Amino acid sequence: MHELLKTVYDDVINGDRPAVEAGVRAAMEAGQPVGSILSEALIGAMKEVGERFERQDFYVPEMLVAARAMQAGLTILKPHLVQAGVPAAGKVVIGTVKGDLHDIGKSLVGMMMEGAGFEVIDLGTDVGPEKFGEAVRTHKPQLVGLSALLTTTMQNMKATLEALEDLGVRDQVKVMVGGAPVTDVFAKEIGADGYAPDASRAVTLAKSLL
Amino acid sequence: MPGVLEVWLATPLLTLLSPDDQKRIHTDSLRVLEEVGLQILEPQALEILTGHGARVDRARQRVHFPPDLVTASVARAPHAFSLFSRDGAREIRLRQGEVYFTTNGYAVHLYDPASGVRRGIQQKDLAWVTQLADSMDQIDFYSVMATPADAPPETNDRYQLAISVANTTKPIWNTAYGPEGVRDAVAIGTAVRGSRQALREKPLFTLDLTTLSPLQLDERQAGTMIEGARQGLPIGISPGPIAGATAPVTLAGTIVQANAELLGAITLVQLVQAGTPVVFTQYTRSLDMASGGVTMGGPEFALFRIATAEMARFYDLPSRGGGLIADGKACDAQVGAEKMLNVLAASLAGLTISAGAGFVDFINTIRPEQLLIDNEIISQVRRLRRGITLDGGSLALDVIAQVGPGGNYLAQDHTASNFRSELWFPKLWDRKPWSVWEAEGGKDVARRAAERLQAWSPKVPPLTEDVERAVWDVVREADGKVARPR
Repeated sequence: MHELLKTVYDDVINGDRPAVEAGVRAAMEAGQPVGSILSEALIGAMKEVGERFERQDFYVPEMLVAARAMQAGLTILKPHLVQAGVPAAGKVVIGTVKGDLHDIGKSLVGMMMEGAGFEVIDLGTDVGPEKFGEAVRTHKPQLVGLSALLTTTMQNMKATLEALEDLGVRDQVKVMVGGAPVTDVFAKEIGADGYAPDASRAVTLAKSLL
Repeated sequence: MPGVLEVWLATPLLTLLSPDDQKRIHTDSLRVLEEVGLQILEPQALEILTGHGARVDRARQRVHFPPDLVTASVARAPHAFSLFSRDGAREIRLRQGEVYFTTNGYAVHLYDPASGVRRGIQQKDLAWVTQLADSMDQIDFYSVMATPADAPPETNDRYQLAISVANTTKPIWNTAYGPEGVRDAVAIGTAVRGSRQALREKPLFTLDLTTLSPLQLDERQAGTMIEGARQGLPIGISPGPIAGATAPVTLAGTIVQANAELLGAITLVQLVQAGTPVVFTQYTRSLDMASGGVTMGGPEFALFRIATAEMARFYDLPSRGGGLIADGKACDAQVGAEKMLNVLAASLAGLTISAGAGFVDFINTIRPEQLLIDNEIISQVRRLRRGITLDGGSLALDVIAQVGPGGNYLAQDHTASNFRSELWFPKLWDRKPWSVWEAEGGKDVARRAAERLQAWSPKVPPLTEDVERAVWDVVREADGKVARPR
């Protein structure tokens, strides 16, 4: 890896946002290809962060500051990526299902997905089934991620899947589910395509579903 | 004069005996020492004590201690002293306000988690558990864990110390058998440190000695204490009276008797050499009235640990006792609860040294997986003792305002920069979602600890060949003396 990219890589892992912004600019000015800055420095660093998280060398707050630093770098890079025709790893629509206002887990998944190079459309919390359907029609993602923290609201995951069926878009997307009360068995029961127990494993799952 | 920080550190989080209670235990102990006295089966000790004004009934070898002699002698024991690691770089400062954790001594059995069989301990087993204890990050120093069955009984202490110095870099809580044992221990320590002077400057080990309850000091223990003091070694004196058998069944009576035994022994040691470092140790325990055996896992054992900590503070001496002892045999809920009860009581009351890590079955059996579990328990206790920090940063008013109603704190820099110091992180305890835990085999903590153990390998660097040879020369010479007819 080029020295300038390695600096950005390290700064992302350390969650140093201003340093990442400066580093990305420096790498661009030095003529590093934007595709390399993205894949080697930014996505590479987030992959390492995810691995550290799974080994419990890193914890949620450290993963978050790293993801935020990565996003800051990505914001600078984005217009140039479009110009250079670098495609995203994939597009994902995420949201917490109807009746549920819990935000943290879902946002964490979103940040980690962005860290892995996905384009993320975050619909927020308390998202009704029809709103997920509309988003699939509008944004044409490959993936939909549903989150729920409550046993009472996780039933709305099933309602969301049914709404996607009714709108005739269910077969255009893979649906992954997660949240504290959700299990692998539940995911299968309601006909979702996958379940992940945490944000880092959600990324691994997303890649395997593409 | 202690500074503000030291006063704060020395403030116990848990108290039981009021200052008046402590004074009463002290004065009642002095009365026991004066009126009943101690039987001391060592002629030199009787000479020394007579020479300082103690009344000795020679026919009964009974020493009646004048209260002033006891208080003056105990006051000569230093409030603090240090032990040093094998390489001399790490210092363990023993004094009021610090807490440390260690293994225990004198096991005769080892449970082998791989085979599920308990067997007698051999020298190679002692080397192995010593290495294991060395690798535990929460174990501050090493108490020689066992009496190996394949070493001679007369010189077993030399084998124990020789095996310990070869297999741990941590300071050692050691014992010695009689005056010659003390001199051999010094020779081993000298070989490791390089010179007698270096061993004096940086003590590597202590002598763990005991009284013979009720109210006796036997010839070997008294002789070892005297020689230990002459050699300037730190001495832990550890009465272990059993309430209902070798002490009154009432806890207060047992505490008074143990205190009297301990003060009597400290007096002897200070008369031999004023300023000898001592550790105020008690293994006060009680009789299991159902079996006639001993019990060291119940709530009264925890109460005894608090009393030891408080009486040691009364005399301003570092203290020691069993903090991680349990009656149970398996790595199960009983052993976990017994250990947590005792170590929590001991540490919150300010007991300087809590011993017992890696032991189950009273102090009879080493259970290696339990050492990993005890390491986790100690880590929790340390966090508990750190308490709640209250300052501008920790009260976090800025962040509360910034996040506001309905926001979340997870992505705040304040969280990222403070969570590691504020929150405790398990190494062995399970916090996974049920599905993940189940997918990984649904293992309980004993199983996980046993698996970690399988993946573990010894890493302590060996002694240099010269030192190793010098150490074992001492052992062989001691064996030679025993073998030779007198």
